[in-house]
Amino acid sequence: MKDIAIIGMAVDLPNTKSLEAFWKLISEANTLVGEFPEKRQEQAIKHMRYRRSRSAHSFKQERESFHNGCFLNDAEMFDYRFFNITPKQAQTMDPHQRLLLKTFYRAIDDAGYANKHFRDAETGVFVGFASNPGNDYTTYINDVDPTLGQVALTGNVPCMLANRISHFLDLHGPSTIVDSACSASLVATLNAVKAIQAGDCRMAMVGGARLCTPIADQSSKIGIESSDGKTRTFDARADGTGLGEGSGAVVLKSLDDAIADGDNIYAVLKGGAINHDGFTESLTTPDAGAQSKLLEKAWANAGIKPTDISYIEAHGTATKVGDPIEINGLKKATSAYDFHQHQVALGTVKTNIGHLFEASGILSVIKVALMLQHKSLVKTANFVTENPLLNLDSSPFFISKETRDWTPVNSKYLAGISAFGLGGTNCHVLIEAAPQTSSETEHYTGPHLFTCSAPSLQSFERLKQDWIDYLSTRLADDNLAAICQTQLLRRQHHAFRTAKVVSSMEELMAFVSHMSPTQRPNQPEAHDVFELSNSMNVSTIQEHYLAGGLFSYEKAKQHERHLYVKTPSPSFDEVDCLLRFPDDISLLPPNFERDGLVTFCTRYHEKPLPGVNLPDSSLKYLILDIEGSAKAQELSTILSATGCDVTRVEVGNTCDITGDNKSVRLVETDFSDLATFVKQEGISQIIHVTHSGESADNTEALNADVNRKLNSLFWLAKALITQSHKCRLTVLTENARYIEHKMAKDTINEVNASLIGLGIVIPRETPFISVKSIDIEPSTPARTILFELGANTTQRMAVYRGDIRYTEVFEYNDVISSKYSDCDIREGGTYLITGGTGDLGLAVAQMLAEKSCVNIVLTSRRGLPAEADWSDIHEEEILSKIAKIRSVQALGSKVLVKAVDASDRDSVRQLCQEMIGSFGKIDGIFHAAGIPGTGLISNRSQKQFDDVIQPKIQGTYFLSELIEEVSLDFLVLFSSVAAVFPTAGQSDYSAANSYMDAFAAKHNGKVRIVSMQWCAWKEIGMAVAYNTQHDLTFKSIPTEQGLDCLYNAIRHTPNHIFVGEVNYTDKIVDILKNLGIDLSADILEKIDHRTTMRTNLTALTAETEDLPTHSQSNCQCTLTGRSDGDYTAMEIVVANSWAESLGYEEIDLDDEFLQLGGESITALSIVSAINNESSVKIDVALLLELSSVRNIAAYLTEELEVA
Amino acid sequence: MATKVLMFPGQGAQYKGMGKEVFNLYPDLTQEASARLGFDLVDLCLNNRDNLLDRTDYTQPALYFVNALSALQKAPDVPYCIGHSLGEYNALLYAGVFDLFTGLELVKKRATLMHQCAQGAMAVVQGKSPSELQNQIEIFGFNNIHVANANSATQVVVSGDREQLAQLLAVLTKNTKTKAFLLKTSGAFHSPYMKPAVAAFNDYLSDRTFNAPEKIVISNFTASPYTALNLKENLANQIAGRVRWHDSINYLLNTGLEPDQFQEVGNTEFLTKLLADIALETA
Repeated sequence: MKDIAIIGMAVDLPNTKSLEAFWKLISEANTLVGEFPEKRQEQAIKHMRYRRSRSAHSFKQERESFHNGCFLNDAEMFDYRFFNITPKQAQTMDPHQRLLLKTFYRAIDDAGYANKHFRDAETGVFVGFASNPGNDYTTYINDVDPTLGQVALTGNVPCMLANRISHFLDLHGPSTIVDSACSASLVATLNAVKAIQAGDCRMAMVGGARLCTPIADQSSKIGIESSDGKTRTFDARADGTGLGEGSGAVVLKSLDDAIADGDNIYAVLKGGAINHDGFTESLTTPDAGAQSKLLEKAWANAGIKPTDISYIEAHGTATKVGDPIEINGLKKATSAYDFHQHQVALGTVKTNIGHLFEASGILSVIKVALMLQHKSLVKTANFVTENPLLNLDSSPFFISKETRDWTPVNSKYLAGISAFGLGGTNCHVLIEAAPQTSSETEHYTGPHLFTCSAPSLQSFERLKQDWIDYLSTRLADDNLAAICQTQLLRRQHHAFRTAKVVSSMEELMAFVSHMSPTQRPNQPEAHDVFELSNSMNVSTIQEHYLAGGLFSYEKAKQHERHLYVKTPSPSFDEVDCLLRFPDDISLLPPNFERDGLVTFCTRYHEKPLPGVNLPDSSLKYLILDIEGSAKAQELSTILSATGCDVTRVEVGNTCDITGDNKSVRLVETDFSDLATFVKQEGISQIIHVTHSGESADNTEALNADVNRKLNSLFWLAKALITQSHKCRLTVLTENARYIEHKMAKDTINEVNASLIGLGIVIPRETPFISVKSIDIEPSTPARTILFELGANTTQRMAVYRGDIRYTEVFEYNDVISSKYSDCDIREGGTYLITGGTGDLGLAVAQMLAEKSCVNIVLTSRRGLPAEADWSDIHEEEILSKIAKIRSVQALGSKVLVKAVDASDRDSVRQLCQEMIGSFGKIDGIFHAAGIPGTGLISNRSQKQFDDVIQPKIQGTYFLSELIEEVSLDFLVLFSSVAAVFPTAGQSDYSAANSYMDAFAAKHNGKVRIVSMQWCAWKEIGMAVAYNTQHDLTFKSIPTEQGLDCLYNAIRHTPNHIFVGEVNYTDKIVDILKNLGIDLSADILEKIDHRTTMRTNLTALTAETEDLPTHSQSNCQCTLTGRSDGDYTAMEIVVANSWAESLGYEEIDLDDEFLQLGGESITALSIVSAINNESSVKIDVALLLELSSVRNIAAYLTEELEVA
Repeated sequence: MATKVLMFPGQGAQYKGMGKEVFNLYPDLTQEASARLGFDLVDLCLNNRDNLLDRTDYTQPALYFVNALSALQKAPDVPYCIGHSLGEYNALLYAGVFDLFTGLELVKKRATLMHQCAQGAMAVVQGKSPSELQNQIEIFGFNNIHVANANSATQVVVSGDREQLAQLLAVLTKNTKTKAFLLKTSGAFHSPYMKPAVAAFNDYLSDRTFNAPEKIVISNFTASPYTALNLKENLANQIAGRVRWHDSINYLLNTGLEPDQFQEVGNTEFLTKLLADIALETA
């Protein structure tokens, strides 16, 4: 098998960041043991106390303490800019991931392949990792602030430990993580070796990282910890492992390729083996027999003679049990061979740096590689007296007790490295010294171009000093060619550059002592790729380099053997990225009372327009006249009369968008063409006009209505979204909303209401389209619509009855505690629950049965198997339904299950006949059938759309036809929060539920008809199935309380009831203020009260230096972009809102939102923050359009002056 | 050139302090007027307590009487006269159709009837012709706005529903070349809103007798001279009908009269300015 060379390495250990420092540590047998850093103790204590306060278990009040060990004191430092990560992502990224990014980068730079264009993309990334259940970073983040979950995702998914590195470095080889606990990174090393041998990649990077929170209490001990944090492997006083933190990474390539490429070779991996203990007396006890077999296998794989070995880097955990077992394993393995006595030295890096668990393997590799490079055996730290249980005297082994030259055995410097995982995965790898390579190199005569760069000015300054130090001891080396070639080819070229043609080391030294960089200009031409070759003139290269040019190295790679010498590279500009845990005050203000489950409703209040404004005549308008209505014509005339450019399009039998009499057919593709037309013509104001006419009185008419009105809006929206056309869409309807006392109920048009439902979802799915609903009645004059179009209001809907204007207000409406009518569940009554075999339906059935002995018919599309067959069922899901039905039956009620599609009229009618036949009547219907909306409009097919619409629109209609026939007491429609506060992906769901809401408003009267707008149920139902039941703006509904609410709803009078609990404790609730619907004064007060309390709280906990805490609403970020440093108050307010949301410490006036990493959630929170402080409001689309702090502040200031 | 036409202004020309030159010159007449009216005319004009001067049932008699005294004091003897809305009564007085106090009585009745119909408002629009304005009104569906006075080719007064007027004004003034603002009148005069007043006034006039005019008085309603025959009819219709001022002035100009032969009675200059605008139209 091919030998694999280690061509690059990097370590990150406590106070030990360079290979030189690491060598010093191990060769001088020092140890890094110390106390757990105080800054980290603070955070850990706060978090621990928080967790304990919420645990059911009661903890003894005791002072928290921490083990000593080898801990990093700079794990939170990270150069997020360098790695293209936003500050917020950096804070919420698992520190292991941050550490690995740094170490891998430094390793690839050490190998001389930091320059992306010189590097082989066929490079694999192999990471050894171990999960940390109960103590993982996501738990911490979730406790700090659950809303961080989304931004934290990619920073905490384990595969990213490797994948992000591949992504950042643009590596296309295999990219995997392996978890075998303490042997993980050694296993990863072996996997990398095999991958190169198998041809999966030409180069490979391997590494691991480990951080821990060493709480010293009984419950978190795993039994191997030493008493004082020191690891005394093989010593008589060994009493366990000391904990260690850090990271290591190496770069591998086949030995032949490494030599041909001129790479620096530290050592050579020969091969190895992995096995498992199998069954042992306990899961976590190691096994000497397995370890011995492991070595045999490893030797065979590496193709070496075991008697050539002279050093073993032991796993050496210094546990009383583990050390002797390891020694026994070694003895067993070597017993069949002819070793000299004391031929093989033993040692372990754990004595220096502690046990890094999953990262220990790679650090062992690096240690031995350095030993081989220096040809030196090192003294074992913390060793005084040999553990008598080892019995090494009669074995080939001895403990390495002093640092001295390594004597080869049979002319070989050969060593083995062991690592044994907690779960029994064992690994052993063979490693040898690098071969002597000839030092013949081509010498380049003549002047050389020296290039040098760093990512920032500060970094450059540090680099300059490093160069001065580096050169001052190397002036006598004849290395100018190698230095210059290394700098040009192998180092990454950053933005701050300098270059000089030099002919001697002295000249280079002189240049380096005074060098100052120019910043690479940001011009496209400067990024032309230049083909680098030996025949190029140096001053041409210099010019191109300083201009920011990129080089292609294809020619260069082909011809020369590239010199490589380890010159200084720039260091990171690291910033504190610690995610602080809030102080240990309860996160809720002490007197804050939760609502509990309550009910709300949407009412309408008069809200005249503040003034009379005409629509902007510089914009272009399109009126889509869906029904050939007079109103559309009047509106068109009146818009033209005010000087606006208006295009009117009818719906008819032809598709003609170019002529004078434009029309489209009711066909999706025509709407697509229409959207193209609209975009081409720059028409930004589109009005979808329908009128009320008669409500459909038969199925054909209903279907025609839905097709004409709802589908046309759906197709229009889809086409506009697909075009990403920035526009305002006005949905003009008649009689969709019920304004009590201002209109006759029988004029309500339910299909029109569904248009409004669809309309309010559109802006949630795209920032390009703003939507306004205007619901009028036939007598509303066209000019009123005109003035509404010209108005600049934040409400998403205006309703006109006559010409009085109303807007929505969402307010409390208590129905839980009172009884209002005689409507009730009858003894012996018959009840139909459509969608009844779902969790929610079954829960309702249970509720009914608990009230009275009743007959219950449950329907669903598939129904359930016949009762006779129930004993043969094995599917768990069906069994659980059956169990619930049984429990209902046990209460004395009858339950029948029927397969009925609620959108099929015949099935519904047939069911009705059957029920009348069996029971004589139907007393109540719960219409819960339906499926949720699960896709964006742009992805929604007609069938998916219809599948959501039909059970609720056609379904409700079919049920309504039965009302008279079955002498119904009540009909409860299961509507949704989506009809009031929808999220993206709920267009059809909101439309369908809005239909039901309007239906209930229209028909509620003699027969009790109510539409329940449910928020997500916590324990059952669709939300749980689709995993969306978590508390967001509204807390999820606990089943029992929800059912109580349902029962009371039947006995009360409002035509709709919104059921939920506003999640006042969560910052996300601020979003409710910016959805275009007014909130009642008491709701607003509670939201603002929460904000004030939270502000006070975080003001107490925030620290002023380093990054602001994630929820610091008074954070002061530094604004840049103006030379006099003078910023307006408005600019500061806007910048602070950006800083808080994105996490940046410094923001430039002209930074663009999307380029800073902003997206829709951060946009919404910035909009909320700004709207809280400004009387002029903005929305997400405007934020994206204005894009920079400067523009937003200017806009707000201007609008304020105009007001 | 010698003055040939006297122009008498109507409502809108009232102002606090009016009449102070003439009350002292005609103390007996003034006192009788106050007695007949039932309130202190001088106090109203000079002090305008509670802004009553802008209430039509006070504005009209006060303005009529003050301008009647002004005419008595200074007006030359001319063959033609014309009055804008209320001012028509001063013109008829000047032409001898009735005497001072009969006129006052008529005006008082007119004013009371109009006050009882008082709802709505009026606005003046500068920059649109009556037909252009009518067109806008129709397009916007302002069914409760009517052209009240066609004062010149580009000055129109509209009457009607207060809210619709506010909307109309906002719409009109979007075009910066158009100026429009509400008038200080307390009702939607010269519009169908006044129909009830017309009927009642007709009844009131029916059994009264008047003299034939001794001067040529151009009627607001017909834009042509009053005759003994059409007197009562024109007077009654004038309340709800459009004031065809533009046409009336053009009628006079077309007889060969020059603008500088017209003279406005009273201290205001509205009619003089209008005349200048109208004269420019044909120039």
